[in-house]
Amino acid sequence: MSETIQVEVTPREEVSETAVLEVRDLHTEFGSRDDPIAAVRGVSLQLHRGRTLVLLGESGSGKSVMARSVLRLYGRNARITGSVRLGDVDISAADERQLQAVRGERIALVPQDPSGALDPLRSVGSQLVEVLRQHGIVPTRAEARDRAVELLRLVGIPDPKRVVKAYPHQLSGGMRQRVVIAIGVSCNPQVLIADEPTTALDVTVQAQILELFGALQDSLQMAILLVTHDVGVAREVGDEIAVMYAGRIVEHGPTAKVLDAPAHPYTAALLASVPTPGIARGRLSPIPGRAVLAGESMSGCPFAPRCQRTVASSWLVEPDLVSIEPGRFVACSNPIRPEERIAS
Amino acid sequence: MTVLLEAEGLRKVFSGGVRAVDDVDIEVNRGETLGIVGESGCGKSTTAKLLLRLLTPDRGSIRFDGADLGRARGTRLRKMRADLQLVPQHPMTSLNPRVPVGASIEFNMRAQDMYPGRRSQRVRELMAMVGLPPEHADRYPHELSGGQLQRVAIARALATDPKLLVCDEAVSALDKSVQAQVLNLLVDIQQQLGVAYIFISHDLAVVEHIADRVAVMYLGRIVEEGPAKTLWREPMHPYTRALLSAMPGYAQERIILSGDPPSPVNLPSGCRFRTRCPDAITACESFDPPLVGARGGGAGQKAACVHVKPLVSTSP
Ligand SMILES: Nc1ncnc2c1ncn2[C@@H]1O[C@H](COP(=O)(O)OP(=O)(O)OP(=O)(O)O)[C@@H](O)[C@H]1O
Ligand SMILES: Nc1ncnc2c1ncn2[C@@H]1O[C@H](COP(=O)(O)OP(=O)(O)OP(=O)(O)O)[C@@H](O)[C@H]1O
Ligand SMILES: [Mg+2]
Ligand SMILES: [Mg+2]
Repeated sequence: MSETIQVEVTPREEVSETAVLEVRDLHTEFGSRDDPIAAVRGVSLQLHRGRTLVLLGESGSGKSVMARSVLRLYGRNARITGSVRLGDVDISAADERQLQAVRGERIALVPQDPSGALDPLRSVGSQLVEVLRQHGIVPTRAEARDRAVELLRLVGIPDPKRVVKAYPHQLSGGMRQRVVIAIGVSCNPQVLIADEPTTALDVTVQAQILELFGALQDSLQMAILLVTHDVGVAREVGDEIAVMYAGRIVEHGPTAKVLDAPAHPYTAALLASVPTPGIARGRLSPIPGRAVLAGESMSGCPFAPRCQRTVASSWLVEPDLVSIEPGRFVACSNPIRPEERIAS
Repeated sequence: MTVLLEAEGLRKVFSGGVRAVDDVDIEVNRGETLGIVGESGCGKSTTAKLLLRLLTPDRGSIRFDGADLGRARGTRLRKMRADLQLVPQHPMTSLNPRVPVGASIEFNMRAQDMYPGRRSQRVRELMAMVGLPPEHADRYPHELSGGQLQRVAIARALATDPKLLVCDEAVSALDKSVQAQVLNLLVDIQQQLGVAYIFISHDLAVVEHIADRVAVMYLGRIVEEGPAKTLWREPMHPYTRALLSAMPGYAQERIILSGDPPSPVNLPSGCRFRTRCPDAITACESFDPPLVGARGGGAGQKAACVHVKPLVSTSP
């Protein structure tokens, strides 16, 4: 047996299965210890090279807090526990200097609110140049300037030579959102966490951004965690989908399986509330009731009060995320079974 | 139906020569919803800010509820401010980061001298209406999620019982279920109180759902306008056709526009859409088509294109 054969029999999947980012049992709490607001309650996930994990979930379910907690972007008012490992770096144990070194360069966040992420007093160009220079991506200021213009072009901003000199308030909402994306990808991070990066963008520009992500993934094997509420986007770019509800992941699996045959009643309800194009006017049908929010008391499954499939235990114990088939996980006492889906 | 808002010939050129809004007319009737769509940077938010007097137009006039908005002063202006509210594209624009969100909502009522004595109660009612626990009124903006803030901004704008509510991407950060809840709420309020909406959104499915009439903007101009149903079924302007064709689930074949949108600083001669238009002809290089009632179009349908034959001939 020659060594070359040994190399060939190593399955490709196994190579890519090594996680670049591994989050284990992440908890984030705000408020006082007596009256805590538990925004993230035990999230575990892995990101793999060249793959995209999409995070769906109701408004207030903890998606942004989770994303920011991974990068330790909270001050003392947040209590974060659990482990976050980025390759050889243990982010959960890192000090501020180590964090500075990995943020932006190895792991970058495109935050949900683009206005808060930009300095109102400095031009877009100087902010991009600073990020590029800080991480030593380009040797000279002039080159950084050219690279900044190129990045703006990549995110589909027309007339980038003009826009690079503009201040944030001189840009439209969608332009600002794209500048923040440009900053996020500027240092070619291994891991990109993008929090609703295309919400204010029309389909054409959105497609351009998703193409850019795809290209970076192909060339750099970048791993992406994409937070979105757009099911169409999720289907298009997600290798896997995780669904959050009340601070936890309630369903996780390959994209087509989760979207076409949801096992958790919340996932099914969320998908059913996507309006069908062409049904103008009339009433839309949201999921009845309101989600339990961080800080509110709950017992049993947090979705139970809105669920039509509750069983006795739903009101007593919060179900764990368990495997229902290889690669598929659901946290429900009465998950939708495959045969039921065919029947309905 | 009577006219509530009538803007004529609005223009705003920013420093550096950016023609953000270039000769726009807008009319909204009482109790009606006008949708405004168009690609990023075409001037939708600038139009909204002009209508609310948050920006002063370089040219043009705005009449609201029978009075000249530009001339209103004192109590008259205050009343108009209460009647004309904005849900801004970025919710933080209307919220003070240093006070709890409930205080921002209350402040909006106090500024208009409305609901004395029961403002805090009304804050809680409004929070519940937009699907938030009333206690969240005590939270600071940074303690809320993106979608929660967006709903607070809606509650704040509704607080003064406006006659016209301008919603600039007001539901864009919401998941579909919460979005459906908020859209149902807006429709209910419209039916009960007769409020009118200008609804700016990049989500064409949302606009189709909520709007009676739609205006399509391209580079600072309205290029087509008409009843939502007609526009969706038979768009007359090539830009509208391309825009709709990109909508997921739209029946017609996708039309891909070539090239980037031109710079708003250097507009093309003639028709501003011609550089990307699949139907452009030589005449488009010199002819800047006006927005006119279209022959063969539906009632109230107008378009600005050389291929559209005017309803009434302009020359005798
Ligand atoms: N600094 C904070 N202090 C207290 N509570 C907070 C804080 N930040 C967030 N929360 C609460 O934690 C919960 C999760 O918030 P998060 O921003 O993660 O939601 P999300 O899933 O991103 O929602 P959206 O889709 O609306 O952006 C929310 O109920 C929010 O009110
Ligand atoms: N204060 C300003 N100074 C200079 N230019 C500005 C200013 N505000 C807006 N602009 C420019 O005016 C144009 C229109 O911006 P506007 O915000 O109205 O676009 P929009 O249609 O709302 O786009 P989006 O969908 O991205 O929000 C853009 O080119 C923008 O850069
Ligand atoms: Mg969020
Ligand atoms: Mg805008």
